[in-house]
Amino acid sequence: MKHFALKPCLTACLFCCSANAFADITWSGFANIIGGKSPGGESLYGYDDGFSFNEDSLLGLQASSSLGDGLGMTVQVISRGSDDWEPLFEWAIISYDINEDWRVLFGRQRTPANMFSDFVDVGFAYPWIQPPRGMYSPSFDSYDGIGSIYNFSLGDTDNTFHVLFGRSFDNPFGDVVDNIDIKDYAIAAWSIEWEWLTFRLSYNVSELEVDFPTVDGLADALAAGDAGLPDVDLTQLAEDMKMDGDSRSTASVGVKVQKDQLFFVAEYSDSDDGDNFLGDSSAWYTTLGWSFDEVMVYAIYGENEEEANIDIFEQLPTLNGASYIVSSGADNVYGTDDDGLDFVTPATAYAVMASRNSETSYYSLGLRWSFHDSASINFEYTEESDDLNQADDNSVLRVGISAAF
Amino acid sequence: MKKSNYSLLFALMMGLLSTLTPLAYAEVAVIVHPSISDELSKKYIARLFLGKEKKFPGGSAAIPLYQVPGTSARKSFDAVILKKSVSQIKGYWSRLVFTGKSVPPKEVDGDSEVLALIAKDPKFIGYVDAGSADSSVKVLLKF
Repeated sequence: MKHFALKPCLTACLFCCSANAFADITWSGFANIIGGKSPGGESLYGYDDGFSFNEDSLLGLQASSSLGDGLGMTVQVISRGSDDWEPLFEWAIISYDINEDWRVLFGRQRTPANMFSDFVDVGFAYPWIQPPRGMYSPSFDSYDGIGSIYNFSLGDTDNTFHVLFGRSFDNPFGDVVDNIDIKDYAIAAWSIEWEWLTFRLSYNVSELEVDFPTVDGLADALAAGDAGLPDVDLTQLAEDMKMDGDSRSTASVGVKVQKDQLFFVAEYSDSDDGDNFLGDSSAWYTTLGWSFDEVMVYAIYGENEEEANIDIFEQLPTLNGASYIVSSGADNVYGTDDDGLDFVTPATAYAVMASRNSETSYYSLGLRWSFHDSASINFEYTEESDDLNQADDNSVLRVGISAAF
Repeated sequence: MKKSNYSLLFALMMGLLSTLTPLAYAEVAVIVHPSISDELSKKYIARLFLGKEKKFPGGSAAIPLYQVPGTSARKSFDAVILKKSVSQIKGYWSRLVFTGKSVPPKEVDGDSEVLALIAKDPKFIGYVDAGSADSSVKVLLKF
């Protein structure tokens, strides 16, 4: 679930407690109305061969209030087409300005993982329809905790140092995963801006707990089924598959150039997900755009790699020269116990773990027309290909209007 | 040359000269309360209006006053000082507003409102058509 019942109560209480608050509320909002279709039926990002508006469209409303003495409150509610337009609190923070360069935030807030993470939902704020999906997933972008944003100058450069410490229970995979708990999430991000050039670094660590019945069940069966494998202890292997309290770290680096008509960004991110089902992953993309008055044409290219955590199987010995991870059918003595009952073999576990291996690349070509002071329209075509399995390419053609007030 | 040719030549020269001079924007004055003694460069003014500086060089608080899009002073200011279109300025502020880092800048309807606010309060800085500036405010610079 993305929202907490606590937050609306907190919001209501604070607004009521401050008699001046109602006179001092600043309303702002944004909308992305995006429609798309996967031509040829090879669906991408949830679209199919019929034109649909529900996947990426959203409306956001934000209320900000100054409570005096450096204290402020901001709440942001977003309704997404993909959630049946149910309004949810994405942001609910109390901010305190230690001085005009240093703000501390308490509550639910966005993580500054990458260059466009802070405002990933505000289509109007960047030139594409969305930040590249390979690096910016629609989930895990908000954490409940404490943040600090500090601005400072170094010579001719403007710098921001943003840290956040928090927790997330966000579970976008509710149909296959019972529970996600990202604990002790800590991130530090530093960006340095000189005229038209911005450079950015971020690093985060967290502890991950995921209740994933398919993987957990497989791991438990593997550990329990060593009745037929008296010399082999599979409990360590089983533990290595599960995501229960594993440490995870991600490093990101990015550069942006925005000079006259030129727009260029490149970002790279590398995650070490620990010894578990997730394995390690890395992603990068680059984009180039050129403006002609109110029109910008742009291209994006990116690659993603997920590396299955199959090194853990190397701890298994072989028996009579046969590897545990290769199933040789009915004759594989490690596939049945003495009563002829099948139990999970390391080969099955290996196949599930190895399925995490993935290499994809994608490109987008698009155009943005800022036809109005407060609104723009995008036309964007994206194609993603599976470089590992050589399956058919998936593609989507999207058109979107983004506005902000 | 014949008289008509001189006229034609004159017209052509004027036409050529007008393309060489920058687009004619209204002359604009950046104004503050008369008690402010700081001197500001165009670059510093741009930084104030983009929220990158929040104080006058002397240390007192500085809050920029935008005019609503469409006024002649706004058009000149956006083009000459900020060097961004209205859409780009909105995009810039939306990146700060929707991340909880800032509130949108104050926008007022026109010259008379800007003058009224600045004459009363030393923490504001704004811009008006140069001809509107009166003795109730101090002109920092004109462009």
